[in-house]
Amino acid sequence: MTAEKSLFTSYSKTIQDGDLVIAYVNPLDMSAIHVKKDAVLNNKYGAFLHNNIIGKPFGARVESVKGNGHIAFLHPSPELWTQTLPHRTQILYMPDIALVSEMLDLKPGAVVVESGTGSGSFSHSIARTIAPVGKLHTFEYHEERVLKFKDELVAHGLESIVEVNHRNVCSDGFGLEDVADAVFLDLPSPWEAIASAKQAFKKGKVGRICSFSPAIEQVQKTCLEMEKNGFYDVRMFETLIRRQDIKTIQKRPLPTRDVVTGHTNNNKSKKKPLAADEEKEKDNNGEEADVVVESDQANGALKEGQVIVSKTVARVAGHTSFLVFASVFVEGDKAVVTADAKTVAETAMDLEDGSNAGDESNAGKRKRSMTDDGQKS
Amino acid sequence: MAGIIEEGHKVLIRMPSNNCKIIHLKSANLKITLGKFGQFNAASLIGRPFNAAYDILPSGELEMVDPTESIDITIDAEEDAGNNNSYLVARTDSQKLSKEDIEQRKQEALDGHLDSKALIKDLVENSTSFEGKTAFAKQKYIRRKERKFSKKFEALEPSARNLCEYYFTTKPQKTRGVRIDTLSQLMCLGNVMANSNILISDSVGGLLVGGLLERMTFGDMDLGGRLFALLDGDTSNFDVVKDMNFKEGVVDRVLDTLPWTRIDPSSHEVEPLPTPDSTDEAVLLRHAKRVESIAKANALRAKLSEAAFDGLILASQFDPLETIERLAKYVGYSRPVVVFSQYKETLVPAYLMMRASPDYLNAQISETMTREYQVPVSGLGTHPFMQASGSGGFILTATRVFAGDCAAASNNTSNKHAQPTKRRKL
Repeated sequence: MTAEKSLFTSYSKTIQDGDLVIAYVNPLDMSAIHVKKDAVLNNKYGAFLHNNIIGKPFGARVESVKGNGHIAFLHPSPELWTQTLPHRTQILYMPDIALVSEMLDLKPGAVVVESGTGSGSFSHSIARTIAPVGKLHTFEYHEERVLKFKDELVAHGLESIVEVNHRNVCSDGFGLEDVADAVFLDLPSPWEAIASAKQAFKKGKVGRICSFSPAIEQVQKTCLEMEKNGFYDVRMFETLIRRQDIKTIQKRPLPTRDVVTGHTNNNKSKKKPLAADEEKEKDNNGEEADVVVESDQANGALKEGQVIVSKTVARVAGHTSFLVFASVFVEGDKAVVTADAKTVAETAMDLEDGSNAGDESNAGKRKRSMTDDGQKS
Repeated sequence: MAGIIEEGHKVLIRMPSNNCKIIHLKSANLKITLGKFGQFNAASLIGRPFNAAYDILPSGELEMVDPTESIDITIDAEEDAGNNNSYLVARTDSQKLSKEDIEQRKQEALDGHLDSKALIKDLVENSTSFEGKTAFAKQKYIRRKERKFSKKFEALEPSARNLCEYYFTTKPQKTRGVRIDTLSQLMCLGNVMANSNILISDSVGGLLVGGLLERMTFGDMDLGGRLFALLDGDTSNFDVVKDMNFKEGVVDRVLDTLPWTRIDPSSHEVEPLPTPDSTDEAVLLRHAKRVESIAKANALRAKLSEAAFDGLILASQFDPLETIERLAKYVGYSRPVVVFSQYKETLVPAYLMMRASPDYLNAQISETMTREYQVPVSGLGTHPFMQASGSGGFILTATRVFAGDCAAASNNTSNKHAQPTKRRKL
């Protein structure tokens, strides 16, 4: 695949030799494979000849050799890749990825700085969104992850959009100046990278930053460091997807008493429903599982006493982290503030810091970089 | 350069009160008025960055300021540590300045004779209850006064993000309650790329169209991406797009629109119109216009049926099931179908159809809980905001697939088949 033909940045209709495809069995059983002539994919549903896949449209359901099962072969996307990639670290999932992308104003042409790369889950999504004219500079301190991700970039045709660097940004900084529209930090101590991140932003316009941290203590330190460095509009979100489980159940009438025998009649459905086993496994919260009904609902036919219900799936897989967003303005040549004004501001800042010694939050708060504050001069 | 305010741009102004309004910098000579917060010269905003804060000077010029900057009052958290509200009683005499005094100062500030920061400082210094407050409460008091008296505003870019939040908080009915996380997921789940060709229906005021346009354009460069929107009425009602600063010609190039009612041609659109045997100029002109409009609609219909779109994204007021059944044939294989609705119930019939059909994979309905927290900046504490949003709506997703020979097999519930057994048929 050439860089221009990455399946992550443009769609293709037909599966070709060498393409990355997602073999889809069910939502919990997907795998990413490279199609290779004469190769065979074996899984519990049988053997699937790659030769039978080549030439088929992406999204084709393909029968196994013995005809005892069929699975679908899907076009890769960053979302599917997130669900199938080899985990080297904890990764970002779709709801976080989506919100971060939007809040960082990612779009074609954006230049983005990311650290760490981790398993490259978000990196793929960033590349998709900023292509074909944007650029992602991603930083990772773990050498093996860097090498693995480099291989992936080549295999996925993304090497012209993504540049991966082996570097510890907390200790060594990003080494970038005046390039970035947005910065994303997923680091154990993001506050150590804030000052260097500020340098990386494009001058003369407002940039956006996001820090992704699981612990509130990390968030607090990061927020204070952001404020100290002139970041503003600091906002924090938590986002969690709630999948809905939709099914048809048989309504349970009140129990009655048999007038002849005196026994209590629970009015349970006599027929064992087909999907009951599956449902019992899921509903292991001590309660008796509802009777799930197999019915031909495609035709909208509900039998008497049946009702379609929905509930939020109890267990949600997600990396529960806090998302901190902020804006920053880095002065440049086009800056509207004169050199004099800057000096005044800095002087004021020094005075302020002195008077507030010992109060960390206020010391940070008083820093200002772009005001000509008449009151102080 | 992107992110810089230009003449002709729209700007979303967030005033000190946190209320927002959209202004249009039609010309540099305009005076823009923000009601009680004063007025300024449009020219002084042009060439400045978006998403920054500005203070209105007495001259009507603007000065770029640090948005976090507050008035010059020292608050020492340790000193205030023993303070609490046990002595606080509801009275009206805690402010020593009289109502008239305050009104007069307010007018002076508006006329530019008094710095609004000095006014707020006056209020603080003349408040008898201020000193007894905790550090957090003091900050809050100052913020509250600033919201009333400050002349500092933020000039936000009318991007899909900012407009989504603006409409969600002020007029959610206009965008049918699409919250920022929901909008972002529609684009993520729709695998929107710069060169995608996407079929959409937008009854959310153009917010979906605007969001997608943002992800498919870069200045006036043609990235190859196209949108085909079906219109609820005869003309488009994408107000949100009009508020966004797309370069001239970009929207027309990327976006095609066709009213729902014109997907199928009417009989007179199939057969050529008879030329009127009249020499009346008006009649001939009307005829020419009709011919042109029919040709345009036919061209759009051809585009629709030949495209095999790279995705179907719906935020429509119409029934999802009916909509999907109508449009699915125009969507390519292995392409996402993403549907937004405020109501879960309207999505369920479409979900059940997709679960039962061999033409779709992995149908799911989800909603998102998103909560915003106050963060420890400006001397404030960390806690959830009191006003939280209950729901941002529901999303149904699925992937359209090519069932081919397997269509028959998957309709037949044989346990041997991976697909039918795994997909709970409901």
